[in-house]
Amino acid sequence: MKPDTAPDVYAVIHLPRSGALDRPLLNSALQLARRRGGGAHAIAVGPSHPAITEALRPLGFKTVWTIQAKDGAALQSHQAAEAIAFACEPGGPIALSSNALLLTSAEAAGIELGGRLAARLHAVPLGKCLDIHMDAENVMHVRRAAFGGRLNISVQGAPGRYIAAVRELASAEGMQAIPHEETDFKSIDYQTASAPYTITQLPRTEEHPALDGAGIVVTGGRGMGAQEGFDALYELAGLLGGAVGASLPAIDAGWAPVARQVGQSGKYVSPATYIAVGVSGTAQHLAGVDPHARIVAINKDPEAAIFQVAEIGVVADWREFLPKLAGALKSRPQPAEL
Amino acid sequence: MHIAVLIAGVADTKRPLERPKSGNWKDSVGEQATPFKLSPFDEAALEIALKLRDRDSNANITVVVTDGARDLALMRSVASFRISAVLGLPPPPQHRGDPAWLARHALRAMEQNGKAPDLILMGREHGDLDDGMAAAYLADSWQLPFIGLALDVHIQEGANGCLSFRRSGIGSDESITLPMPAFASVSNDKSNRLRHPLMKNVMLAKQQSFPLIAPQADETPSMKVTDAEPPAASARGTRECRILQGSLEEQALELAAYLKPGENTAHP
Repeated sequence: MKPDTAPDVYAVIHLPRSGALDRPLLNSALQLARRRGGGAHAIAVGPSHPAITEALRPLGFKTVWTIQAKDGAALQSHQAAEAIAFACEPGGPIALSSNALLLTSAEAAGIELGGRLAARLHAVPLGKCLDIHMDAENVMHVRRAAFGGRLNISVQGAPGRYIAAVRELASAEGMQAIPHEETDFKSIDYQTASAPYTITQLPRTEEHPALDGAGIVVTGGRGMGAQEGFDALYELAGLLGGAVGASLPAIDAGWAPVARQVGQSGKYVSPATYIAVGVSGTAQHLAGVDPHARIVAINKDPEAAIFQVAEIGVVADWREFLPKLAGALKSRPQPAEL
Repeated sequence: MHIAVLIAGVADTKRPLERPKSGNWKDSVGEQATPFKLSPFDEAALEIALKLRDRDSNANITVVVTDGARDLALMRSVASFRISAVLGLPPPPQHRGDPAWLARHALRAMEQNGKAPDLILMGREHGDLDDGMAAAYLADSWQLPFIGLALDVHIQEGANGCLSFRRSGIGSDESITLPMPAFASVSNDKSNRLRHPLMKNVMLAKQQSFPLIAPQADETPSMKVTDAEPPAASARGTRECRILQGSLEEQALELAAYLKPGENTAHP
């Protein structure tokens, strides 16, 4: 049986975990909906913020629901999932169709929320998707990485609800501005049944942000040549709101603590952007980098293997290039915050 | 305390992925040619369980292996840590990577005397076909309190029936308290690197047999793999690397615009 109507697409935004508008997520929802003639909607869950409305107004969503706790408190992941599921119950304010497609951010928090929602909404969790298509009969086709990025698989879905975590879908890149459409804003107050988990902030053993969950990772390799190179990486990561990683040779040299090791024998990181500075790009190192991460390579060796997997490359010595990059970043305007 | 670890083997990452006998990569899902190994995330989950057992002599561990459950070397590598019960729950090929199938069958497989475990641990990714959604899906399916990307777990002193989970956040580390029964996905860290097994336990594991649980494949899978190919070498399968040109100042400006787009340039 094939669905006979184009699916509506919903971008799910968890506030305040989403510090800024996740434009690739919103863009993917808009493009997917418009390509098949379905509606594009956004669901923002968390403390109400006037900037949300203003930021979402010009984008062309048919409906934007904002779901907030009655007491205005921030919602943890399990509470956000509960609130959205409540709003999407039959007869609830969000009339979620049986073939709806929900999109979440491809960062750790979005993936967790996606998994929770899939269970609660009886949807199929698609994981992190490279691309999504609905064919002329509205059958879902998805391309995603598997086997640690060693295979790209294509899967076809039976009729039903789906949840995908997306960065920027391949087919939604380079799109033009969306024609303006009047957006219907709806507010939902909800009192969560589940209590928040007790969370205690712990002192960090070092001053710099940890790798886990970082949206941008700046990694140094053997090519940094000395400890001073990592000082420059910490500055760059600070400018970008990211975290610093290191390849095994840099760890072995004592330029960074072992907790920052990325690679097969170190941590696995899944940032949106991975900046590799003086990193050769061995398979063992890349095994620790999410295949969806967009790699930027800075290396003075134009033959370095890292350029084979990078999206953007700079052939230069970091000593000359990083100060110029830091200066250029400081001159950039700040992105819109919610 | 009963701790269950849900494990899925992954194709050995230290060797190239072997093409299936049929020659079609999509058959890798059903007839994997590369031997299975523990993933670093599953190793971390197992190490956390072992540490909890070290601290509590009454604790016992059940490990349920899904993908790779018929790979004797994988099962023995798990059993070599003197695990109370190592069981196989191999999903039918059409349900590999299907969290809904796991939700229907895995909890029952982990039960002890008809009772659910006090703590369920699994790696942040479950096997070669999951990239992180499965754990949260299972937790909400089973209505268990859940923490993602935990690095360590402790039984709380003086708080009967509570566990504290440590994880790293962007701004700071966090300790989260959950009542038992609880569920956590685990990320790898220097603090949870899997220990080496004792040789005598390795030898004992070689004599062990491992029960397989095989639920009937009576459900229609929600997804069907239609194609699989290794990604192209460039840009991890999406596009050629664009080497920036011009002076270093010009390259720096272009890269800064790419990394930190202003509001105007980022408008969808």
